[in-house]
Amino acid sequence: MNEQDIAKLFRQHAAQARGADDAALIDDVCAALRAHADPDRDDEPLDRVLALNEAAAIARIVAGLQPAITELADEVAMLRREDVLAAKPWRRRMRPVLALAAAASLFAVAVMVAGLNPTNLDPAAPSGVSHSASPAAGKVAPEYVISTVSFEADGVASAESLHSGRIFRGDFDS
Amino acid sequence: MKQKLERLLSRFGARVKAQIASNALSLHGIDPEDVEQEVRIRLWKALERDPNADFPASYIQRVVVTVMVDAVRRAQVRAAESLPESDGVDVRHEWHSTAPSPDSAALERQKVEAVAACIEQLPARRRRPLQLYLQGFGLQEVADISGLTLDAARKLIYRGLDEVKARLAVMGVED
Repeated sequence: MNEQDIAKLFRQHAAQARGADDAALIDDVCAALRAHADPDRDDEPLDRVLALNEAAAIARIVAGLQPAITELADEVAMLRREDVLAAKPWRRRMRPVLALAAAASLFAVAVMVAGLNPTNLDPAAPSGVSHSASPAAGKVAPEYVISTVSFEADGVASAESLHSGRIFRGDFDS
Repeated sequence: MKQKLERLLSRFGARVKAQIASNALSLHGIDPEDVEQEVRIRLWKALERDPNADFPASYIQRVVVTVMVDAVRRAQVRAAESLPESDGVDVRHEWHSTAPSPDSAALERQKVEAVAACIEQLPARRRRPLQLYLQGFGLQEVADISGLTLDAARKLIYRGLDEVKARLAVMGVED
């Protein structure tokens, strides 16, 4: 018996087979064609497709159409993207203007911040915050220092220098 | 947009038609023109129904499969319908002369069953590529669907065929 005879008899057998309902048949054909990309595929849909001549013929045609199907899906997606962009022309036109406005705003903020910098103010005026300028900071062991920032202005004398460390000057013996 | 879509769908429809014609699905009573039209109409309706929905390849594939299954079912219903009365020509004589004898029909049935049984006994790795090949898939298609290289698919098919022939010979099934 040669190859053609075997093929003919196999197809005769597949012509006699009864398939499941149409929905299951459609699922099987789609799954059989999709499965080859998946290493953990389920081969049962393919077995069911091959057991029915019509299902096998449909699968063969759809397998041959696969490049055209992928191409159509890509072209429709591209057309959709073009459509979305065309539907919002003002946003597309305004994009460079908005970018320029954002850049100008950032520049303006930067100029304002630079203008408010204490180094540009009158040197005689007390600065708001000084770093490590507090005399007390030098007397405390570094591991106990939480912050080196002092909210006393440089020009303001500390309580220690004004009163020599004494808070109360009264005499209780009198 | 609509015109562009219509052009794309027309081109795709033409490819569906050509593919059906080249694979002789008309043997199953299917008209490629009908399938082409139906595929185009269903895809167009789907696009109109939801213009913003995704339209992935898997969806298009499913539409094509559904249309073809419907077409096969319609063809089967047409074939099952009774033939019109002939104009005085006696068709019974022709029918009797072409029908196989009961003996040859029984022999043919035995061969069909034997071939199916031999194929079924093959290991799955060899059986599926062979079944695909016997169902008319080309070597490259067999390789693609089975996830094999072309060379591996060819070897598995021919080893499978040799094994089936050997089993049939042991069973005493001849031409």
